[in-house]
Amino acid sequence: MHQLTFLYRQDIYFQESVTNHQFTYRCIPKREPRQEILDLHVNVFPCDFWAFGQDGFLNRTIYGRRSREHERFYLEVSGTIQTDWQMYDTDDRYNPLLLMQTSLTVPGITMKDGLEKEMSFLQKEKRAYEKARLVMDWMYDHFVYEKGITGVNTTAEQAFASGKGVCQDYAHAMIGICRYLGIPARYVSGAIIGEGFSHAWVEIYSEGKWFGFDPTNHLLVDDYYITFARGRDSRDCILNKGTFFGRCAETQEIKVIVEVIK
Amino acid sequence: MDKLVIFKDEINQLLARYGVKFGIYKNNEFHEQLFPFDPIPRVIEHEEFEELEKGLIQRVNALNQFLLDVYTDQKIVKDGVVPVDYIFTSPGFLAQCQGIVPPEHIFAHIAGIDLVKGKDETWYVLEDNLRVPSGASYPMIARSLCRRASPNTFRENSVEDNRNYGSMLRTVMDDVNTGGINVVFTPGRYNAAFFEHSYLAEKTGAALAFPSDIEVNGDYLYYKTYSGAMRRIGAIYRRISDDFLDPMTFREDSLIGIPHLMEVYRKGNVALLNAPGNGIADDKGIYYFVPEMIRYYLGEEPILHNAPTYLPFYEKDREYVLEHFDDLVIKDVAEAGGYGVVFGNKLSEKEKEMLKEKICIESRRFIAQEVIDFQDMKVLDGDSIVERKADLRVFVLSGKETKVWKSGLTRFTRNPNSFVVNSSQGGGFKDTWILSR
Repeated sequence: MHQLTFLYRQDIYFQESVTNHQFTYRCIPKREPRQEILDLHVNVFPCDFWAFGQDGFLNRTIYGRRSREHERFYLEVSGTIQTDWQMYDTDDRYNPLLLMQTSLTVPGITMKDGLEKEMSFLQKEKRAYEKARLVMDWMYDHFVYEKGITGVNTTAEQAFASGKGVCQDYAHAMIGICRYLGIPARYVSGAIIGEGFSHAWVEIYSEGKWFGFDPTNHLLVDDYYITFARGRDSRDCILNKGTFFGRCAETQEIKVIVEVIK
Repeated sequence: MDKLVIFKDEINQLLARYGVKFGIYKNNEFHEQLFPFDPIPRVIEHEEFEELEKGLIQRVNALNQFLLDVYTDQKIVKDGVVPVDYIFTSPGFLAQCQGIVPPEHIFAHIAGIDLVKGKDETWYVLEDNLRVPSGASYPMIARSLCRRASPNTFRENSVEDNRNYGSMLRTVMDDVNTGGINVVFTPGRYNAAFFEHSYLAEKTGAALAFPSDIEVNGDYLYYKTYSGAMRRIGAIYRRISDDFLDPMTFREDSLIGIPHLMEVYRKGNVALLNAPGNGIADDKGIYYFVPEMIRYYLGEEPILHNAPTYLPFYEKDREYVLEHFDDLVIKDVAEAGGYGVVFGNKLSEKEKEMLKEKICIESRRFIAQEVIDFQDMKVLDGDSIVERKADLRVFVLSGKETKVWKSGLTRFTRNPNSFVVNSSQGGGFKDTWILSR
C-alpha cells in the first residue's frame, strides 16, 4: 500500500482569441478499491462553469465551457491517493464488449502470422493470466519504443508491422492479441510514478479478476500506477477533448507528476 | 369519400402552402419535394384495429424492456436468447449509453411501427422505428384539411378523431419531464422533416428550439428565450440523430448538437425523447428476435407476426437463403429508408453470385425475408383509380402508459412495379381512418 500525490495540468495557448470553447477531461483518478482518493483539487481558468460527470464506462469526467473570447486556458487536477495493487477489480459486466475487437485493436495478417509461427505453444497454457504474460514477453522482443512514428489513429496491426510505437500502440497490440485469444482485455489510461506524460497500459480478465500489464515497460502494474479511465481502446479514454470556434494555431503543454509520500 | 376525391387538388395545394414537404439529399444537394396526398383513405375496422393495438402495445413494451436490459444487466444475452454478436457488432449499440436508466424506464417514447396487410388478411410487422420516426404530422394535417373540405364526410362516417396526437405526445413529455419546460429540438430549416418539427411543437405547446437556443450549464440543460432569460428544460423531443446529438460524446464535427447533453442526461436531469442508443432495438438483425423478446420479458405469446425472416448467421437459415434466393428479399442491416433492399429475382446471375458470396462472408450484415404479397390499395391517378402497394406506420407512444394513436401514416408507391413505399423513394401518402364502431 502506498500514498501518492499527483498532478495533471494542461495549458493551451491560442494564437488569436477563440470563443465557445467546450471541454471534457478524463484525468481524475477513478474511485475504486484499488485506489482511494484522499483529496482532490480542480482548477479551471477561464471558464463559465465546470462540473463532474461520468461516461459510458463509468469513468469520471470534468466538463465545462468558456463562451467568451480567450487566448489562454488551463486545467489542473491534483490530489492525494492511496493505492493497493492487491485489491482486484472483479467487475465482469462489460466482458462481452471487451472481447470485441475495435478498428484500433483488430489484428491483421502480420500479427496473426506472428502468433501462429512463434506463439503456437500458447494454446497449451490454460490460464488467461499466463497467456497474457507470455504475450507481453513476446511483444517486448518485437516492439521498440519510438516516438513520432505513430499517431492517435494508428492501428495495432500498423504499429506491430512497423515494430515501433508508443504506449498507446503497445496497449492496442496487446489488447488485440488477448481478445484474439479469447481473453477480455481493456485499455487503461493514467499516470505512473515520475514526471512526464500520461501513460497507457492493459488489463486482462483471468479467473474472476482483472490484472494490469504494462507492455511498454514490460512490467506488471503495481502501486505506482494511477488509473484515470478504462475502455475498449484509446478512443474511450481520451484524457482531454476540446472544441472551440476560431481559426488559429494553438500550442499545448501537458504536465503529469506523480510522487510517493509514503 | 367521393367529396374528398373532388377536392384532391385543393387539399394538395393547401398542403403545399402549409409547407408539407419532404427534403431529400441527393448528390449533396438539398431538394425539397411535395409529399403527394391521395384522398382515398385507408379504412381499418374497429375490431381489427383493437387487435392491432393490443399487439403493438405488447411489442413496444417488450422493446422498451429490451433497451433497458441491453444498457444495464444484459440478461437476455446472458440467458442466450440473443447472441452476443448481434448486440455489440451492431452500429446501433452505443457504449456511451451503458448504465443510463432514463425516466420511467422508457427509451422508445415515440415508436413508428411499419406494418403491411397481406393478401391472406394477416398484418405483418416489417420494421420497428425507434430512433426518430417521422410522419405523424402528415395524417394530422391532412385530416384537418379534409374536414374543412368536406365536413359531412366525417359526420356520415364514424371515424376516430386523430387530432389528439399533439395532446398524447404532450402527455408523454410531461410523464418523463424531470422539471422544466418541454422543447422540440430541430436541427433546422434544411432538415427533411422540418415541417413536422414546427407542427408538433405547435400542437404540443412545446418550444421549438434550434441548436443555438439550447445549452448546458452545470448539471442542467437550458433554453435561451428571445429576451435572453434561461429556462430549464425537463424534456427534449429531439429530431436529430444520435450521431449529431452531442459533439463531446459522439461525432465531434457536429455543429447542430448540444455539447455535454449526455452528461446532463446521464445525471437524470433531462429526459431525451427518444433515448439515444435505441438503434440497437430497431436494427434489422435484432428484428428477428422481437417475438422471442416478447416471450422472454412479458411471458406472453406475440400477437403480431413478423414477416418470415432468415438470419444467414445461423447455418440452417443460410442454407435456406442460398437455396431460395429468388423468392426472398435481401436487406442490408446497415441501411435504412428503403436503401440496401434487393429482391433476389431482380438481380443478374453475376450480381446474385456476388451477393451470395457477401452473405456467406459477412453473414451478420444481412437478413432475408419472404416477399409478402401485400394488399393493393386504391389510389387516384389523374381521373382513374389504380391499385398500388401501400404500408402503414402506426405510432405507439410510451410514457407512464403505452398508447396507440388511432390513425397512422399510409404510404403508397406511385410506381406500379415497386414494393418500396418510403417517402425518400418518391411515394405518396393517405390518411388512415380507424372506425370508431
